[in-house]
Amino acid sequence: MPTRGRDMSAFLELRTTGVVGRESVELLVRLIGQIVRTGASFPPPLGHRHWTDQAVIDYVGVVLATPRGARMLVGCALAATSQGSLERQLLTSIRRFMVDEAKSTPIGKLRRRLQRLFNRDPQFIDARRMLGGDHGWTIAENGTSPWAGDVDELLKLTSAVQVAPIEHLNRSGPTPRAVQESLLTLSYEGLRLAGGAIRAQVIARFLYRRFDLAAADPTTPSVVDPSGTALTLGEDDEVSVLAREIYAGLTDEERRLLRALARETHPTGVASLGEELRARLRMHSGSETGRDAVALVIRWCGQGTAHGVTSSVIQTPDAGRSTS
Amino acid sequence: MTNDFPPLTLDDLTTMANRIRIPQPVSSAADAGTVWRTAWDGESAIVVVMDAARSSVHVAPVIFDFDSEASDRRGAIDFHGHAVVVLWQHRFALAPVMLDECFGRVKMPGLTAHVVGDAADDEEDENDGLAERLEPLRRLAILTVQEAGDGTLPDLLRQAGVGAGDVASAIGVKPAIAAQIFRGARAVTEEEAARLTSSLAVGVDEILVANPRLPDIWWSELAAREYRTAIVMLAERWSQTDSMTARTLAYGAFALAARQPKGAAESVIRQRIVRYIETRLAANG
Repeated sequence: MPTRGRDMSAFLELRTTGVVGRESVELLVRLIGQIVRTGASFPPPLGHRHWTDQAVIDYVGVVLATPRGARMLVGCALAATSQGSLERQLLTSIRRFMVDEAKSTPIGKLRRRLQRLFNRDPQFIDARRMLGGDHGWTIAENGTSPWAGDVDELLKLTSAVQVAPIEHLNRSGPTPRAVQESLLTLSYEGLRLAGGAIRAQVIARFLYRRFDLAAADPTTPSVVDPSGTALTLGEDDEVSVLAREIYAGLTDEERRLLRALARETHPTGVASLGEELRARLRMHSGSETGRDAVALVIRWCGQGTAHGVTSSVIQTPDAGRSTS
Repeated sequence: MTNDFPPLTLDDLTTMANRIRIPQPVSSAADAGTVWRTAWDGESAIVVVMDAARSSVHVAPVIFDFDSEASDRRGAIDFHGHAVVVLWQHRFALAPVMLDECFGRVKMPGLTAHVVGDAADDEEDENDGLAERLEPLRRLAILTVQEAGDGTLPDLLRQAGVGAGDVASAIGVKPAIAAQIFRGARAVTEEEAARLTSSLAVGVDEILVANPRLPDIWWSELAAREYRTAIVMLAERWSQTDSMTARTLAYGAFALAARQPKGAAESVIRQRIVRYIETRLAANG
């Protein structure tokens, strides 16, 4: 077998075959591996704790399976004039893709929401310089010192602070005034009690947990099990978080197919799911967390019918939630 | 049940990837609504032609890589089965010679399409990304108006202590022509510049840039798309940028024309340029 320059063949493959093939896939794996292993702080795909080889493969799966990822590849392939230019186009686009993916997580969305709120409130001061370039916030009385604690410490520090709970978090449009008040009050108190500048990511994670925003997100599925008691979906439980995400991305038809699989009512079993859905579920099977999440989603789907749920979003009976 | 869902492998990824089709180039004039790759001096971008003339086209950027959640308010349109965004309100003037390959056509909706960043909450994020996305086209647009020839060649010669006689002997022209060069009344060609490099201790490109400015009509003519193939081919042969190659051809053709009666008349400029390009292509094999 002749040795081909791999760098050359991805460009030629796209030009000559008109499809994204093996060389291009290997290039994607290499470039994403290069991005995540050279200092960029992108979180690995949900279910993975580190950027292992399998995590990179799963991430390439996400790129290939999403309309945005496909568009991105087409755009890069069309704009490229050489292998070098293809790689430059892809590196720029993949970074952008990864930034937007990170922003689209619940924590990422909350972080952006907070940034907008803090920017408009003079009490909050941009603390990037105090945090070595990391994005973060402080208040005037804290001076220029950074705070090095973590989310758990911040939760403890603020445990006595009373604020109105957030029952519902809108997905688009301006943040409702009451929600703004709760977020700003607790953020301010957290910064005051910490006594230093806090990284934006820590503030977002702290608020997410303190307000139990996983339950307040309208896309969050929750399932009533046959015994009539709510399944516990702990906000720190990665399996639940990932399962929610997978579940939210399923169409009604896909949930029906998974219901049949869960209840073993379809004669062809897993084959009935079709290649696309199966590939999407396999994208999460590269980690133990992911496998558990897929199993949980199938369980949820199976239980959906038992309770006559037809909506694509199963509402959570959310009794007893408190932020105090 | 988890055995039904084994982890993805490279083979699986390849199967998934094979579903993505890359649009192939089509033969087309640069009409309004056609989608092109612009490529020049190592920069490239995908654009839609809004209007076109022989020496200038107005284009709008095509964005493939955008957040899907924002696609509805961005007014995404279909292109070969993919939703793309055309930033109609970001209009750039380019030289048609920068248009490389056409990939089809999109419907021109007029100038009522979306404005990026129209949702106030996301404006900051959107505009950050927008500037980055528009950068290649900004650079191409700058190259379009960046004409060679700042007229500083006489200064360069004087600073180096080179007189008209030295110029005449260095490049092998009559003293009268050397005097014209020394006065900034005549441009040097790339070959002449190459002979001058030892006297001036600067590179060919710097000498060409210092040439007197060519009449605009020469640049307008060289901006036409019909010269692209030759320019790109010669740039590759000479291992230099497209811009440098175009400049070399411009001054070479201009010098050729200057040696002939009425050679630089507007009516024969195209003929002179074509002739000079043919000469250079033949000379390079």
